[in-house]
This record gives sequence, structure tokens and C-alpha cells, in this order.
Amino acid sequence: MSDSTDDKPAPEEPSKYVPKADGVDPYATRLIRELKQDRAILACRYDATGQFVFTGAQDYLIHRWDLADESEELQAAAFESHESWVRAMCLFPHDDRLATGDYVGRLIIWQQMNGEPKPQHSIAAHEGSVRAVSVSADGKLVASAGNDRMVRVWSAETGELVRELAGHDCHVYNVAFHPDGSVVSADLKCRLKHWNVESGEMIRELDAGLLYVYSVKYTVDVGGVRGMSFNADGSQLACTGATGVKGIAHSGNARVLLFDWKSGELLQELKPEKDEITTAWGVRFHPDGFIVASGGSRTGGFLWFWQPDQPVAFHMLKFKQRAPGFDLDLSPNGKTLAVANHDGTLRLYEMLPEPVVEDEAKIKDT
Amino acid sequence: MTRDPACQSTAHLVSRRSMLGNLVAGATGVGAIGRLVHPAVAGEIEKKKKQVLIFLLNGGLSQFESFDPKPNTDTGGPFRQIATAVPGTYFSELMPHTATIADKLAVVRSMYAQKVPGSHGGARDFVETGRPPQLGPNPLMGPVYSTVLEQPDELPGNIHIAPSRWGPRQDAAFLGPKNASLVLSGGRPPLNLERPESINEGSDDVRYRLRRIADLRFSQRRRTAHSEAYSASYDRAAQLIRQRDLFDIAKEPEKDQQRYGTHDFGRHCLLARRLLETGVTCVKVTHNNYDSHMENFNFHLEQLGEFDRPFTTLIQDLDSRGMLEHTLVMLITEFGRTPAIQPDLGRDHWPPNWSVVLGGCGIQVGGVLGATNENGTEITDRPVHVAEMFHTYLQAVGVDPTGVHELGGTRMPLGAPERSAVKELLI
Amino acid sequence: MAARLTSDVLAIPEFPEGEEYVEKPSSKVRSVPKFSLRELLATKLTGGETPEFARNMANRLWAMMMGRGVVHPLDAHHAANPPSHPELLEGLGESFQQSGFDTRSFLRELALSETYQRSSIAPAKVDPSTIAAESFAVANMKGLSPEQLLHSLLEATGSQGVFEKQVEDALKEDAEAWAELSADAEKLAAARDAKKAERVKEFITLFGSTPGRPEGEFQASLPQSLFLANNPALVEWLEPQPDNLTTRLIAVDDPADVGRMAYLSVLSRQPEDEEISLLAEHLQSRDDRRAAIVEFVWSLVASAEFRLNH
Repeated sequence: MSDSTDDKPAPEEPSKYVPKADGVDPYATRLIRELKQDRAILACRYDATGQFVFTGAQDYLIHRWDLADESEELQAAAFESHESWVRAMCLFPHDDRLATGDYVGRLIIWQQMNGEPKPQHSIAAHEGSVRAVSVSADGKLVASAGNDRMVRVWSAETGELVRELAGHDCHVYNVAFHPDGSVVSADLKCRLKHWNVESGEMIRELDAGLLYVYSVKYTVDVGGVRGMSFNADGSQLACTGATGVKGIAHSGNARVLLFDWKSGELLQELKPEKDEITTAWGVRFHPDGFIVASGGSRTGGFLWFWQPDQPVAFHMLKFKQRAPGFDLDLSPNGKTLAVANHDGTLRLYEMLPEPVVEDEAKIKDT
Repeated sequence: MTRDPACQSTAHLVSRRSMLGNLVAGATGVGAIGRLVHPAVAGEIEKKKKQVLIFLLNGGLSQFESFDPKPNTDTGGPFRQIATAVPGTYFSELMPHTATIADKLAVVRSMYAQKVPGSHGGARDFVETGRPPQLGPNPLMGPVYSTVLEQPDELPGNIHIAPSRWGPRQDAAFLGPKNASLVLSGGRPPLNLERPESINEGSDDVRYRLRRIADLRFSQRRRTAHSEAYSASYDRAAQLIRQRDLFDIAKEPEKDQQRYGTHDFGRHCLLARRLLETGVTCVKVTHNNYDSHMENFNFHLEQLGEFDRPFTTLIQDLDSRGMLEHTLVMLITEFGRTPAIQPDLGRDHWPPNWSVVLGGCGIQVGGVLGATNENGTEITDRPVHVAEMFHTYLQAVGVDPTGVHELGGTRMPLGAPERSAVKELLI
Repeated sequence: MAARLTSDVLAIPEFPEGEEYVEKPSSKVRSVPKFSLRELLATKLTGGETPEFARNMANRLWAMMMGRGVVHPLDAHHAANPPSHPELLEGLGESFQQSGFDTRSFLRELALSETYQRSSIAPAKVDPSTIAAESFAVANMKGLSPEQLLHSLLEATGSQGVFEKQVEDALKEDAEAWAELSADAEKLAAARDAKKAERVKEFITLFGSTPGRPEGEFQASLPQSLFLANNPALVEWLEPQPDNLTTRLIAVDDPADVGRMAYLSVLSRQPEDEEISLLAEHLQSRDDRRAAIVEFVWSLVASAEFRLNH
């Protein structure tokens, strides 16, 4: 005879993330800065020092925000060269170069991003949009993916075409270099191809098909991996998008698919606690061991936080503004998230509680 | 010849009918496949006959991503504009093939409608009937054409090549079911065209004949309008069954099947060509779907990517076959899309201004009518109301839009009485 | 009757904002305004000061029964389109008004009338084409309504059983759903009803007139005739099925008996002599008796006599 009044045992609570002692506290994530631009921002990247954030936007310009300048009315430095929206963006790992791609197929490798930026190479890389760019770990190669179904690998030094990776049968939405020098690309139907760059051969395919559907009603493919990111050692890959999309009138439900890179198997289908009509866009692995993504839709914008072994987000931040976060980047010191918003504002969120200000008088007395 | 009301002999009835020239189903066999009239011959016989080809881009085609691009603006989106065959006229880069035939088209950039219902169906009805749907139902263009234009003898005159899930609809309103469009869902032959397996060809002939005789008996001592209409519908069914190859594009040359492409819209365009060549008066092709509230740019890229080439191929083929002269072509949609780009990179519905394209019979081509301002938020020149376009669609094929439908005592105007055709578009 | 113009201007009371309702509008409760124009309209239309309303209603009910209005087309009440029988229309309008707009008893009276019970057959020695529709001297024929057509087809061919089976087969197509349904009698019954309603709706879409408008003149369309000729489900009703009409006919030898059984079942009458001869000729000319019977039954259900209410 049991003591408890219930016959069934209490359900196991999923273990919630416990912030590391010397790490950040996702639960405390708060908006610390808003940097306004004219038009929707589609991409954002911190530079290696964390002093600058670069954005690509619908005004065709690359903006550089100097975060060391704390003034309220801070203006960004803006750099022209692209002739359409800039969504593809990747920083070079060891120097102040930046690779960007636009909607009309141009890939630009910029140099002196921290000084007087100018295009080092301006390449007509694709017929139609460049949807994503990635820079190799050694900084020597740049990969671009586009609407012409091609993935191309370029020499960062000379700007010349090194390799063409053909095989996708629809628009290629994303591309990323693995730390080992191989490349993964993902398309509209959410099929991933893992390439050997040297030989140009495809090594294997991975399937992120949960993020894709063919809409019979609208007779169109709906899908595309919006964001793609490896963790630091390349053992895991996160892909973002939405699942269960009914058509083209509104989004489905945001998802981040977590793959084990070695086996190619899907480890987790990461989802928000409550399914809303949203798409997940940018994603990052935090060194503390959690995964953070940005996204949203007309309903609003969100940040979601997951542990890699738990499908349901342990924390969620809903933006004040009803504008999705199209892109996300983690500051080099791991404390801040930069989010590129549809409303044209770059927002910085700190994953730490508000610092307590000691009473000045008290401090003086001690 | 006077009828003897007392005569009830069936033999007498049958031969009298034959003398009156009515087709008796079974005379040439219901099941036998008739030869389609050869296109060249068709051209001669029906030299002056007008035809209509309607492209309905369903969901609301974005004027920014098609015929009224505004690159480098806050509303224009990421795509560029490209030059067309008409110097000084630019289309969106999403329509490279259509750009090459701009000299065969007239673009109207200043279409508008007011008090449009929010729903697609209502807005579509407004465009296709020339009347506010709240005052409906009114007949769509296809049924209207079937009453004012010459109809083919042995074919349905008004056919809608529709997306897969679209079924038959009562689109003829007060013109009645006999004038309703024949719907080819997914471009497939009409429902129930194929005989069930349990009935063979011979059986079909026999049963139609028996049925016909029953009707002749029934109508002997009665007023005959209804039974005649009923019998006529079976005659048409028998005719259509004989003509079922009409719907089979596998009968078109292989090279054409390649040129038009293997996806649905390409095949539908080839089918439209086939139907028009054999003399169908009005063919509508609907392309799904442009209602991109989300990811407008991705989806217009996909849909126009599908649309651009087969559309161009069809217009060019009509032209090279000398058919564009007497075939009115129109490219319509129920409204445009918002200049403002929404948070999920979509565009919403926009009736204050959008684009429509005409070509072919009776139309002044090679130009643009109307204009919008720099970022496409308003009309700056020659607004054209949906109802004015409806008048134009009639006048272009030689029909007086101020005329009426005579409906046994009631008269309904063809076009909205307070509007008139757009003279600038007409030759 | 000339239209009367009234120069009365209705006094519409005004209320301060927020005080227009006895019961405010909400999603749960029907709103009750302190003053309702609609209610006033209803009262004025039916109060006797507007005989046109009663006449219009009576005319439409008459048209529904008799196949044609006393004023026809139904919307065209104006000087250039006078009623075919002005006193009749007056009388109908008044009677309907006085009964308090009792539709049921009005229709009953129409149904009991000689006019309604007339046949559509012209008297001997009269050429039917000379009889004007508006004379009501013979019955004006109407098409069966979509629902009448479906149920008549099932009744005539004895196919209720096949129909039930077809409904069940359709439900079984989704094996998973069927497993759920067969475990729950109530859900199964509901699913069956829903499927049947789908079939009714199919008939309505195909054979019905434009929604919101009165039935116009009978029209026949190509999709309708293709359906009646080739729809697989319908053709199945004509095939020999356990105890349906076709099965019973196949089992009978004498053409006269075949004819009587068939004409009574489908057309609710005895066959004429010549019809029996035609039938005998037909049966003899075909080797395949099953096919011959199916062809014959189809010719009856697809005939104008079956399709029309005459």
C-alpha cells in the first residue's frame, strides 16, 4: 500500500539548464543596446575582437558599428559596393577580411574591415542570388552557394574559382566549411551535401527534410535551411528553418535540427516550448554547452535556448518588437548576442543579469 | 411540314429528326474517335472567328516582381530590372523570356479596384466579371464569351485549365449551367469522360440510341424545350467522348512537349495551344499560386520561373501560326501586392494599383499604359478600373460592351453601365 | 399596379454613444438594440401596407410549384412585364397576406389545385408547341432538384444497398481512420452520414442552380450528362447487384414483364405497347443479356421523363 495519494509516479521533469559558475546566464538575457539603420537587416557578424559588428541589409550597404563608442546617437560607417540586398556574410577567422554576397549574384571579399574597408575581390559568383558564404578555417578559401544550384569555392587570395560543386537540383540556401576543410551545403528541399573540396566529389548526403514540404495547394516547394552552424570542434551541425508549413501565406513552426556530424544522424529536433507560427533563422553553439537561435514571423521575434540533449527549449525571450530576428551572432567573449531585425535595428542582448550598482556613498565609506 | 400530333410511330419520329438535321448519337458511334479537324483547315473555315486566351495568375501577382519593377527603392525588393523588346520599358529580372516579347504585349500598370472584398475569391470575381462581387453573382468572362462569340460546332467553347484541386464551378451565374466553363482539373480531361469498364463501345452506342428514342416519345405530346435541351446535352457528351483526344497533349509533336516543359504549367500551355488550334473559343489557364504573404521573393522566383518560359513560348507559337491576330490574350490577377515588405519578407494584398497585360486581337501592343510613382505606392497616370478593363476585353474582340444579355424578358448589361472601354489600348 | 412613392421620413431615434443596446453585442449573446430598423422593415413589409411584398412572395412560391411565376422572370415586376393572370396574382397575394404568411398552408392549397395537378401532356388534337407556358393550361415541367434526382435514382434502381456499400468502401480507403471508426458506433454513424452528405453535395454542385438565386428555366449541361453517362458510382447502381432492379429484370424472361417491372420502378407507369415491342426487339438483338438490361435501364434513368418533374 502506497503512502502517496497518486497511483502513478510523478512524471520526470526534463532537467533544466543550469548556468555554469563562470559562464553566462541565458535566463537573464536582456536587451542592452539598439542600433538603428534605415532598412531591414538581414545579416550580422562580430569581428574577432568584438569591438565591431558588421551588418548586411536591404539598403545594399555593409554597415560597421563601433561598439566601443557608447553614444546614444551612434551612426554606423557604411560601405557601398553591392547592388542588391546583402544576406550572405562571413568573417575571415584570422584577419580583418569579410566575405559578403548579395541577391544578384555578387560575392565580395572585403579587406581592412576595421580600418578603411574596400573590396579586394568583386566576383560575379552566381546567376541569381548568393544565398550564403563561408570562409575556410585557414582563411584561404571562400565557398558561396546560390540560386543557380551551384556551390562554388574561390581562392580568397586571388578571387579565382577553385572548385565547382554541382549536384543540387534546386536553390542552394546555405553553405558552411567544416573545420577539417570539407564543405556542407543545404538546399530548398533541405537535402544536405557533404563535399570533398579537393576532389570536388560529394562524400555523402544528410537529410533535413523535416524542414521541407511540397505544398499541393500552392504548387510550390516550401523549405530551405535558413541558418547553418557547426559547433567549435565540428562534431555537431545545427540547421534552422520551420516544419509543418502549410503554404506561402504564413510560416510553420520553428525548428533547429541537430546532427551528429560523424554519423550524419539527426540527434534532436529542437523546438520551442509552445509551437507558434515562426521560422528559426540564425543559430549558434555557445561554449557553455547550450544552443541559441533567433527567429520569428509577423507574430513576433524570439530567441530560443536549448540543451543539445533536450528537444524543448529551456528558455525563450520574446522581443518587444514584432520583427523576426533574421540573423544571430555570438560575441567573441560569449556574453552578447547580436540580432539582425526586420525593423532595421541591430539589437544586442547580454546573457548576464544587470550589474548591481553599489551605492556610491557606501563605496566611499569602506 | 406540319406535325401530325396523332402519329406516334417511333420510326417516323426518328426519320423526321434526321430530316431536321439533328445529330443522333450513334449515327457515327459514341465511342469511335473522330479525327480532330486539321488546324490548317480550321484556320480557313473559321478565318474571322475570334478567340480568347486568359492567363489567371492566382493569388495576387506582385507588380514589383513582374511588370512594374522599382529597383533601388525601399519597396522594390532585391531584384533588378531588365530591358525588354520595347526600348524604355523594363520588366523585373524574374521575367527574362517575357521581356523578349514585350513588343507583342500591352502593359497596364495602373489597374485598380475599390471596396474590394478581402478574400481572393471576391477579388477574383471582381476582375473576372467586371462587377463588384457584392452585387453578384455575375457571369465570368468565359461564360460571357460563350454567349457573344461564335462557338465551335462540335467542341465545348469555353474551357478552363485549372489547378489540380479546382473542380467545376457555377461560373455562369444567370447565363445558366449550360454556359458554365468546362473545367479540366489539373489539366486532365473532364470528369467522367471515360466510360466505365463495364460498358464497352458498342454498348454506349446502343444505350444512347435507346435514350434518344425514349426522349422522342416523351416529347411527342408535350412542349419540347426542356427535352430538347436535355437531349442536346447528351449529344454534346457523345461528341466530346468522340473528341477525347483533344485533351491529350501526348498527341502533340515531341519537340513541342520538350519546348513547353514537363511541369504542370508548361503542359497546360501546350494544351491551351491545342485547344485553341482546334477552335475552342475561350481558354483560361490558371497558374497557382502567387499569394506570398511570406517569403514573397523566394516564391515569386519559383512561380515566375515556372511561368515565364511556357507563357512566352505559347505567345510566340500563336504568333507564328497567325493566330494572334484573332486571339485576344490577357494576363490577369486579382490584385497586386503591398509596396511595404512585411516582417516575414512577404507582401500582402494590394488593390490600389497593380499590373495587367494584354495582347493579340484588337490590342495596341508594344507599350505601357499608366504609371505608378517612384516606390509604387500610388498611381500617377491614367488609372484604369477593373470594370473598364472588362469593357475592353469585350470590345477588343468586336463585342459591344454596352450591349445586353437577353434572358427571356430580363436584360442584363454586358459591361458595367457606368464604365467604358479603355480606348488607348484598342486598335 | 403603379409603384407608390411615400414621402414619409422615418424618425430614427438617437441614443448617446454606448447606450444603443438593451443587450450589448458580444460573442456569447445576441445583441438587442433599443431601436431596430430591420425590425421596423419587417413590420412594415408584413403589416398589410405593402401588398407588393405579399405578391412577390406568393409569386415565388407559385413559381416553385408551377415551374413559372405569374410574373416571370421573378424579379421583373414592372409595367412592361405584367402578370399573366393579374386577378390570380392579386388573390394569391391577399390570401397569403391574410393567412399571416403561412407558407405551409399556402403550398398545400397550391398542391391541391387543379392547375398543379395538370399533366404536361397536351390535349388530343392540340399542337403542344402552340400552348404558351404562361397559360398554365398544361403543367410546366421542372427539373428534379439535385436531392430529388439522387434519391430518385437510388429508389428507381433499387440501389440503396449498393450506395451504403459504396459509402463504406470510401471510408475504408483510409485504413487507420477506419480502424478507429469501426470501434465506435456513434462515430461510424456520423462518418457515414458525412460521406452521404458529400454525395448529396456532389449532386448539388453539379445539378443545382446558382446559390442564392431562384431556379431558372431548366438547363442541361455537358458535365451533367457526362456524369449521368459515365460516373462509375452511378453506373455501379445499374449493374446487377444483390436484389436491385437490374438483377430482378435479368431474371425475368418475358419482355412484357421486364417492361412492366422496369417502367413501374423507374417512371412510375405502365409501358405502352410500342415500348414493349421496342424493348423486345432490343433484348433480342443483344447476345449479352446483362449488357442489354443495363443499357435499357440506363436509357430510362437518363431520359428526360425521369429527369423532369412533369
